Amino acid sequence: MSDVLPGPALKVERLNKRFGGVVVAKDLRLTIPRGRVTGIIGPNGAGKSTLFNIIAGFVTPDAGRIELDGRDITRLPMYRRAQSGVSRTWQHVRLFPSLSVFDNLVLGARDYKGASAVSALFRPPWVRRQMEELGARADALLVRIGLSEKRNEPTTNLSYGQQKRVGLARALMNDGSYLLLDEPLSGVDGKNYEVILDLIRQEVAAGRGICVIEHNISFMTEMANDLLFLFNGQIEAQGLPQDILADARIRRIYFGGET
Amino acid sequence: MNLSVFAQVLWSSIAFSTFYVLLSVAFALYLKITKVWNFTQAGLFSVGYFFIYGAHRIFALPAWLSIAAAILLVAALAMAIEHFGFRTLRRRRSPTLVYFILSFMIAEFLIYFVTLLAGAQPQSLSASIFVPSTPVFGVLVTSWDGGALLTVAVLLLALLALSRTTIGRKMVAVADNASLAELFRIRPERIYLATAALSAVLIVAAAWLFGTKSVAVPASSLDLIFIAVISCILGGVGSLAGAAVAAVVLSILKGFSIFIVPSIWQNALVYYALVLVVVFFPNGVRLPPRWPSWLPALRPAPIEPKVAQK
Amino acid sequence: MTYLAELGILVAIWTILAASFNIIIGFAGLFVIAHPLFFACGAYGAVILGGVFGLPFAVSVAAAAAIAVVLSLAFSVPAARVSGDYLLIASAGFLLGSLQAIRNVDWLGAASGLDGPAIFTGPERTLWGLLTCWICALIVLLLARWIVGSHFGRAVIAMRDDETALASLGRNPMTIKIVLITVGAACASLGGSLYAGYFQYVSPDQFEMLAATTMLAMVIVGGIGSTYGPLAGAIIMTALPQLVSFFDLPPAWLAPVQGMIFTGIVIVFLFVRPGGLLGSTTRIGQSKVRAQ
Repeated sequence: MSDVLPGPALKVERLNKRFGGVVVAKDLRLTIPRGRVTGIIGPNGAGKSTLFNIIAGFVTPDAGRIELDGRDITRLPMYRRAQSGVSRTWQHVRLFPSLSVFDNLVLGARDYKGASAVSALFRPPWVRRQMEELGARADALLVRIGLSEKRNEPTTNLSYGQQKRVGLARALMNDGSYLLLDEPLSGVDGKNYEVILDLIRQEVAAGRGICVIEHNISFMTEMANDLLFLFNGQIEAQGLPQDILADARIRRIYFGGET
Repeated sequence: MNLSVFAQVLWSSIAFSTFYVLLSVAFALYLKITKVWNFTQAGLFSVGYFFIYGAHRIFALPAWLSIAAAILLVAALAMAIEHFGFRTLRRRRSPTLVYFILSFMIAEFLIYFVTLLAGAQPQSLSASIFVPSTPVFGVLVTSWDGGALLTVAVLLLALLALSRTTIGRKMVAVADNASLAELFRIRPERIYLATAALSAVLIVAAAWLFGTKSVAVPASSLDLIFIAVISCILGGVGSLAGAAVAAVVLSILKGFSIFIVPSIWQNALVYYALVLVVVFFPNGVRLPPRWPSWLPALRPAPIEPKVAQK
Repeated sequence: MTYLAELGILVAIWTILAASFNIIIGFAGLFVIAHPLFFACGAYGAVILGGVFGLPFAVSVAAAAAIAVVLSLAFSVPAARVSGDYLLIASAGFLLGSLQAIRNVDWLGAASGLDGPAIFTGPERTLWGLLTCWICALIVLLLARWIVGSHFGRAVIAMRDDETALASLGRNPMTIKIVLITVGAACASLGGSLYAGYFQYVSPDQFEMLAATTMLAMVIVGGIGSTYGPLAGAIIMTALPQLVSFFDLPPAWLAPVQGMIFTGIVIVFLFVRPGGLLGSTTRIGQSKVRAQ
């Protein structure tokens, strides 16, 4: 069980949330340790995205506690959690359509000084320097995701797979300790698939704690250190991917019917 | 203040609340079913009011005819606005701001148009505001009071009866979930048009009641619509009964506020009240009493699915 | 000649008002329709501080702007907990309530208004007024352009596109909105002070819903969220009613006809060209893409 591992982690404890009559989290407990990939699978509507929304601060839980490296972040608003190093991707990407790829990336940085009131009216040298650094980082990421030639294009000109690459890169600009990836591979194939896979491998190697929601079984088998099966707001099973996926009961719930 | 003054003010406020109630219900009805804050109703009110004024006071047509013709005109206008205006915005998936701007601009356009035709002098809809009154338990009750309350009662009961009919159930369905209703072969657009026509009836009735008690200029409707907005928000968005009750309560508060606040501050107070309501009670005021079960239910009972026998 | 010059002054002042309104509803996306209040702040401020307290014009402009900024916080702070629809309704109520309140307060001139000191004096006053107002108008337009083109502007555009996504990246949308509202309010106040300074008279009638409608009309016609749109809107919406005055209408008809023209134009634009003259043709509020 991963919560036995020592070291800093993003922890969720006793999480409870219901929307009207639907229970999306019931005494949920989850640990995302650094340097490992924690996978979450489960039938649609089981509350996986909502779980990410709660951890990221978009949705307030009815009860529970979220801890980042030992620090209680349950009360923090979404933007502060991002500043603390929890960054996420969205299932539907959510890039900014009016901005170019480069602009989208630059905005992902945690300490984007350009958003402060001071920078709004003046442009002191330290802001200028920081923006140059951010620009360099963004360009480096563009090289890593192989989209340097699309730097100044509006994101609406990109294919879905390319947008997903940009979305992932934008989350990486946060340079935080924890990444929540919501179906990073859905609707993606071929080159985009490989690029995203490589990126995740590199980030795990760099010591980040990554939590991935995915339906892609081969990805889970290959990449997840720990797999959680989420159903009806509860973690029905947790363990190594091959064990979970071999479990007959899980297969029945997830795939339906006899297998 | 002694008991008889208290009773008199209370009675007058309740009688006065009649046109507020009708306007609030009209606004709430449109909001509930189409989800649109339909400020054009201020313009429709002015059109209806001054149409009746022209027909009844200037061309000396009988009151019932003027009212009926006004209803037809306002309903046609309301349906045109819904069909050519809001439907276009819906098709384009316009942001809420655009709905606001459009409905506000249409309201103002209509009010300016009416001002052009009818002038800016305050006008009343009846030849004389003086109505005979009878003392009832020490409170002066006029025949206007009786007529107004009767009108409101009849119209609200008619609405209640309507909610039981097929079209009424369709309206409730569309109010709940328009896309789901479409799956059941209900055409939301037809329902929206019906809603527009229905609210036109309420608006013209409100105009008649207002004009037979007081005087108005074309721009008066803007103040009235704000009271309707406050009532809707206070009563809980989506609740017609809530809007009606809130309108009565507001009227009573307004009636008694004259003892605390000088009359020149009354208007400012109403507007600031709106601000407070919006900021502190955006979801309405939750009142404890539940609807008594021995009264006819406000909402038609949901259809229970029959459990198939094995 | 003076007539045209004074028309020019009016266009300049409306440009300032429309541009500052655009910053609030176009850039920040906040439906604060109480903009005429900031305008009134600057106008009444200039008249009272300059006339009653004898402060030099520049000082009263700055002081009035400061008051407008504080007033704007009354909108930006609750804006976080109040949704867009409600913010619009609340700000409309606040505007109308405050105007009624001004009408009841004697030292604000009540309904009959206040006369103010002459800021522009001498035989060339119209020329000076014209020059000053247009310089200020240009400054406000350039300020808007600077905001949008800067690193801050990147965040503003992103916020307009998808506020939640921006927050998930670590930016607080509230800070951005507060800055924008503050700047918008201060600029509107400047416009008010210039207006009072030249025309030397303020009354509540000048800041009524019609003023809000006019500003809104200019912003829509020019293009919500576009940088120079307010200028186009101000020119068109000031020029057109003037054409009406050439038709020798009875005076009672003047105001309603002007009103019908304003509102009619906005309605037409909303259907035919929702992006305004200088905005996108299809969507309200979408600006052209910036490339670095």
